[in-house]
Amino acid sequence: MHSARGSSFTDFQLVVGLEVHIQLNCKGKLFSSDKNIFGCEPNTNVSALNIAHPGTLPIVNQKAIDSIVLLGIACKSEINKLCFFDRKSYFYPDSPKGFQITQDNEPFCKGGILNIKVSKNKRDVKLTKMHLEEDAGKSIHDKSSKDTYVDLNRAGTPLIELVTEPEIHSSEEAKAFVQELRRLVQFINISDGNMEEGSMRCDANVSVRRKGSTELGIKVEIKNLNSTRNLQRAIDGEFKRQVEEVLKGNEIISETRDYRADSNTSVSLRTKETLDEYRYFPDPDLPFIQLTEADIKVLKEKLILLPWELETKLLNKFSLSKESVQFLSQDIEIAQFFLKACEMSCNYQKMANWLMGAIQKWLNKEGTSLLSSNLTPKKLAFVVDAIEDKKVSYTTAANELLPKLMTDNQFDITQAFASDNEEDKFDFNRIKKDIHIIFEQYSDKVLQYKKGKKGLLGFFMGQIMKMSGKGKDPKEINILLEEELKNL
Amino acid sequence: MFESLSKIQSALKEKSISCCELVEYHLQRAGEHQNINAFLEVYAEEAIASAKRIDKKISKNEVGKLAGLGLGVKDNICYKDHRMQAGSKILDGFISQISATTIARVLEEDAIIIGRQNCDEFAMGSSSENPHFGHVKNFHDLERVAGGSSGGSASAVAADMCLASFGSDTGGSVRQPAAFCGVVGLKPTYSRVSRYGLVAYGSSFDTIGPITKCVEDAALLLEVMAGQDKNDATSSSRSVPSFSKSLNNFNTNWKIGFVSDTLNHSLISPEVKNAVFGVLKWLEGNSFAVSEAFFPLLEYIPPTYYILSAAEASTNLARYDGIRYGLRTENPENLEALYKKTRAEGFGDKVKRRIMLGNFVLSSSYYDTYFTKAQKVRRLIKGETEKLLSQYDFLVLPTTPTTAFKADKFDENNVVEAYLADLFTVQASVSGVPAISIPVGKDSNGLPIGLQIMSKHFEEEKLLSFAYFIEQNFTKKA
Repeated sequence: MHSARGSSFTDFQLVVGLEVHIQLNCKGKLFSSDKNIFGCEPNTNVSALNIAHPGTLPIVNQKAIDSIVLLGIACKSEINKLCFFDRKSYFYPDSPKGFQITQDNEPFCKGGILNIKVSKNKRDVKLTKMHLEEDAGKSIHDKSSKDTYVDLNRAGTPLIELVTEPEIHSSEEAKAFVQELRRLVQFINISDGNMEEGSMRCDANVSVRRKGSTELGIKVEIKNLNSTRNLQRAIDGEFKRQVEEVLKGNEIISETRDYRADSNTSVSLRTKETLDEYRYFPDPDLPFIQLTEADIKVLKEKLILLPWELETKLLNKFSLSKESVQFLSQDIEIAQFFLKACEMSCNYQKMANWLMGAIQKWLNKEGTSLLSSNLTPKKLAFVVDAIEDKKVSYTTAANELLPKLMTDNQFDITQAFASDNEEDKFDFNRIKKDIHIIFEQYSDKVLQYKKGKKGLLGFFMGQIMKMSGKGKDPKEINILLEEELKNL
Repeated sequence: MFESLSKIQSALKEKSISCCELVEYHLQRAGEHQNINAFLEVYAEEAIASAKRIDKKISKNEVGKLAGLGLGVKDNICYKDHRMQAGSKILDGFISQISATTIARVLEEDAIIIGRQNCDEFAMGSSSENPHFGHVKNFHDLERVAGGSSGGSASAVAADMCLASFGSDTGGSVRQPAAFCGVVGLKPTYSRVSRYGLVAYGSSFDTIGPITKCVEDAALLLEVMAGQDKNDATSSSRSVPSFSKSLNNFNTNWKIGFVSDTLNHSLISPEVKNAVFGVLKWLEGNSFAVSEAFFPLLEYIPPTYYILSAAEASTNLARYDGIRYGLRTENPENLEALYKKTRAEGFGDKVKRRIMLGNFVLSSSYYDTYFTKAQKVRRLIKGETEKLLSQYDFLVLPTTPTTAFKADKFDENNVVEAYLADLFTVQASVSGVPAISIPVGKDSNGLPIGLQIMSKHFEEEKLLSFAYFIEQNFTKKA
């Protein structure tokens, strides 16, 4: 232990490795067809297998294997062609079999990278491995002062455990990593990435060392980080705690600490002086899993675009605003919807605005998703083109056409303009015509306006609203009026 | 009494007997021989109700392959809505929510389940001396054990309490009691028969196997039980031949190897040895090529088997923790006490010993010395067995070193000696190949002697034909 005299925080480097558990959105559990849903009544999604009845056997969920291989491909991991599952033995009431089925020696993915961005700097964070395992149930301690209750709904839920190399050096980087990973899993649609509901859970292995040193310090594992904010605060707090210990001349103890968000502190759960005795061995109930090049190729083809590739394309090819790019690269389904629409209309930014604005607003209000609505890329392209060609006002389109487009699959947008009544059909041209009638009628006022009496705008508005504005959006008319005044 | 299902089915057809009468006969036998302690429970009412239903089907001529077959089921095979406790106190009160695939398949073919049968606790043992339910007695000599772990299943067939039984064989638990009780016991190729619904002991060894009065019934049961199952990922997709139809396809060009390391073993009794040599001589006389096969790894098989099966068992039995079902100790002071006391009260000594052995060989300090090494030796044994079976069509050896031994012979002072009761049966278990035990005579005390035959993986068709040939032409005529 070298002297701490004269040292300060700036002399130390933070070293973090992350372990992220990603709950997969498969319909079934990892080894049974029981429902994998959050928020059900306790012990309702459990079969004989989930409560570990004798005689039951695990059958691996192929969708879970596909999910981890997809994530591995996206992160450029080495996909392990011959994998197996191991039993990890420990007793706890929420682990019904007395062992967890996980992977120890032969995980599905080895290595890989994830590129993160902190302020303007981009860098790759190396991954150690990713494996599949089943989640435990939940022990509920706060229902009674005496008894613990066990809810096994979550038991057997498919999880990916992703482990990074210890090469994250700031809490911002850790946060950026988790955010980028969340975006990726959502984008490739293997998890909802919801940290509040526990679909993504994070443990951080934190250590400190003197700057310039290449040796790793004693690591402390911090558990229970259920938001990026907590992750960041916990890492910052642990860095401070460890540096203070070192400055005081104390050794860092290898331990597991539990983060308490309400007080922004952590408490020691257990020290790691004794070797964990999990007695891993290959699960004899599950045959080895062989992945062929052909299997991997099929999955590769599903990943047409990754979020970062999409970003580049949206920026360079479609010249979208940064805000739009960020929105569209969140979800592969929205992105594909957009790209399809772009084959039919060149109003890229306007279509993006529609997806981010009116459509998203409607979806939020109705609590539904784009793909379960009746809107198609073709219809979106058609509406946006119609607005741009001034066949319909934005307001009419957003307020009247959109709800129909979203809900009614019989609604034919291409017929909407042709068959509507005269007033709607000639909307723009007619108002424009009316504007010019008023201009002629009040040519003196037009002259005054041109000389600089801009206050007359209100007068013209009043006239036009009187003449043709019934039931129309004054804002739209205002825009048209200003345009026509400019063109005078 | 009828000696095979085909004879029963002819009688059913001629209406000289009904399923009801058959079931009543089995129930009566079970009642008369309660002292054998073969059944933990008989399903009398249900069995009679099923028999009535099947009798109706017979009259309409739309009956399944196994009509007339009264089946006993070892108490480690699940039958939906029936109790099952693997002969253990720790599963007191447990009721199965599932039926084993094998059970579902035989019910589909109109078998009638007579009841559940006593065995060694969690199928661990060779004598069916059950610490919670008492010893199973040998029908041929009540002072002697029925063998194990499927002792109740074998003794029940010998005593006509049922026509056939489902046993389970991890290291010999179907074949050894079949030999002791003078009946036929078949261990199919590992993965040939679904393990779904079988209480796991050593998952990479466990097989459900039929115990019957004759080879023909074993063949018939196997063809119904076997085949891929979506509920067992390790079950084989191999197609299942109609074993019972090809029993006469024997071939005198078959080459037979006798494993001399077993016949010259110090533990073998002279009478067993002579009986096996008697068969071999007779085979030679029937122009089969019989020669000596060497298996120098014999001594390594039991330790390999015990290390690996105990390792698997230690995790397979971790679920019996008192939390969700079965026994739970009263008023434990905390969680750890609940686990410790429940398991201390619920498991017998033999089971505890194997759990501890399994935990020991999987612990990090001894993992490589025991578990990893045993896995390597297993591959070696499997490879050598396959090599021998590429030179011979069948390997022939005694099923057991001795005939049925007296009860209470083994206690905690001679655990290893007790483990050697499996010496001749574990080779097929460790290698995963099929093996059958058939009766070939009796010793001077009138105790049955079993002959064991092994064949290549998935060659049950040949194995059964060969066993049938010996049964029909040697055993029956001797």
